[in-house]
Amino acid sequence: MNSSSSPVISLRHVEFQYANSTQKTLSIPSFDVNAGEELFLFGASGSGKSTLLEILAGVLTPQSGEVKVLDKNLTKMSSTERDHFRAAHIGYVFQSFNLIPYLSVYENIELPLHLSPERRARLKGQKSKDAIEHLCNELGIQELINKRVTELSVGQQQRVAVARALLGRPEIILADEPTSALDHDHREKFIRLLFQVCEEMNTSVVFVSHDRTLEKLFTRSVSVQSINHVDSSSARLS
Amino acid sequence: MIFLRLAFLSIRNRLFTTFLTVISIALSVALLLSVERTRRATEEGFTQAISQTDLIVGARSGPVNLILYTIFNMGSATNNISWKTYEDLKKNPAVEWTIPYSLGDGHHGFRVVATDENFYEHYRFRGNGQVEFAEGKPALGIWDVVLGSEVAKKLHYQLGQKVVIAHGVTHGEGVLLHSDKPFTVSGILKPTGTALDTSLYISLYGMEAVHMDWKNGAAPTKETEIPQDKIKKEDIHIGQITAFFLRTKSRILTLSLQRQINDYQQEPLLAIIPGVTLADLWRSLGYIEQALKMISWMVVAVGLMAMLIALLTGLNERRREMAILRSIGAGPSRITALMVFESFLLTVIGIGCGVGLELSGFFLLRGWLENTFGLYLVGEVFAGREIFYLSITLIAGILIGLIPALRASRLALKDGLSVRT
Repeated sequence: MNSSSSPVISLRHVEFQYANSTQKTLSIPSFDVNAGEELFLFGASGSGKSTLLEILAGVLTPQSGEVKVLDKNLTKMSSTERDHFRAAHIGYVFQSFNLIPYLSVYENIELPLHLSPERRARLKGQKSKDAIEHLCNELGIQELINKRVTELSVGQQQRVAVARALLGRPEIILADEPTSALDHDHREKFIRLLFQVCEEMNTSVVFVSHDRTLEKLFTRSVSVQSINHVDSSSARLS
Repeated sequence: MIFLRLAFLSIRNRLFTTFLTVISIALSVALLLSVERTRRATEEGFTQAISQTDLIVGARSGPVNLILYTIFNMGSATNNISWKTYEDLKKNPAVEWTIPYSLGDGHHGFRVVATDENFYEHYRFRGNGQVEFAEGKPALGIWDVVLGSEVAKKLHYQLGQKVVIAHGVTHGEGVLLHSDKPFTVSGILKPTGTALDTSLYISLYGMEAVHMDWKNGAAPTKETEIPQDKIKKEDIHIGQITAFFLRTKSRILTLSLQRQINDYQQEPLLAIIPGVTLADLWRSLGYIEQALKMISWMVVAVGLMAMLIALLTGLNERRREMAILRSIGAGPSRITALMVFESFLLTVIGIGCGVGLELSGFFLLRGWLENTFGLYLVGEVFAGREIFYLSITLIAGILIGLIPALRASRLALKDGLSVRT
């Protein structure tokens, strides 16, 4: 694990409010994620954790404050620049339905390479087929590579999603409750596998969940309520 | 490249709606093309009812009247041309050939045309279509008659059969029949899809011969009647004809010759350029064409609407897909492009199927259309106008595709990475 403490993500005075809402969803004075860190971000539903994740991904922009990811200020970028930035540096894993149903497993994993020349460059001349096979081997899904997405179990789908998120070594993985569709035994196994690959690639992980039984696996655990100074009981459900 | 594949796989994934969308576009395109082809065939059949004839000359009346009674068997001449005038104009150095036409008699509602060997040799329609015989030979003898294909078919006439023509009647049953001087069928023409099919052809001598014993438009009495077997070709004197067709030696002589004939001192004549008059006449019938065209464009619009509906209704279930694409860095413009490309693909496939459908239908039904409706297609199978129509359809398809595409990207922006309802 990387011991460097320079933050890969740094939020200052971030205020966010949905256009159709009368209340702020987020008000975060300060929040940092360090390089190589595996951060567990927990909170009840409605605490604003999904909103925070979308701000980190550059899909949402706060009304005020500074969102620095890899020393780039996302709030200063155009939406197209943020899309490119996300494609190049961030892997995203959803709770479920991560995959495009009419593409094969292989094509799903390969998608980010088509959207980001940076990710392709980071394969360092390795053929994308070899890189994908290598990643799938590590995640134990090498037999699934040519299968149809619809033939996969939920657990298998989540591992394919991780493979896609990690292909081309993005610096950050954002995971929005990726284990909530898995049963308890598989959750821990999934997370250990995720960490194993991320540590190898020196990728930082921000993992959002409401299930605190997983907390112990992470290097650091933060409650959304502790960084978000909005009264969560009145915050918009999202 | 992956986006081409994404769009392609995505429409394949929704096979049933894709199929319906493609079918609706294909059918509407096929209809549009069929209407256009029929229109063109009709127009060509009409404006090329006669070809390679530079001038039609008749007694002075109106151009439309002249073309109607010479080409379409409709109406009648107001006056005749004297044989002397015809002989005189025929000798004009600018003239290559002439076809004399003498009208006035009929047979069971079909028109009898008296002409000479030039008709069989020079008469052309639809470009280079010429008078051909299904059986028999031209009516060159005094009592020979050649039947148009339709006449032979309707009346069940055979070669060698006796045919009695009626005096002065071109519609319905004749009252005054030339029953004392029957003609013998010497030939039957092949179908042409023109008015030739509904005419009977005799020689100019024949026309004179049946009227030889008539005096001032009155039928002969028993005493004045000349028996058929007494009539010799040498005794027949041709006094007048109704009209004649004319070919100039060089097309540039046409206009000056036309002026010359129209200014002819000895007799009031009218010379018209058939192509010009036919085109004028066709234009006056243009509203039918416009109506047909409008209807087929409306059908195309309905076909494209079906695509719009299919894409819009499919949009909601695809929001997840859009969120996934957003998460890996696809911007809203990428999503718009993807959706527009899908409409483009659907329209292209639809147009392709439509063209295939129309062409195969056309080639399969061609013989039947020619035989049943006399609808002949000349010229190219696929004209520039069709390409133009298909381009308009394609552009319309892409523009209509913008509607679901923009909606998709708006939804994608609103949804972000989670599907909000």
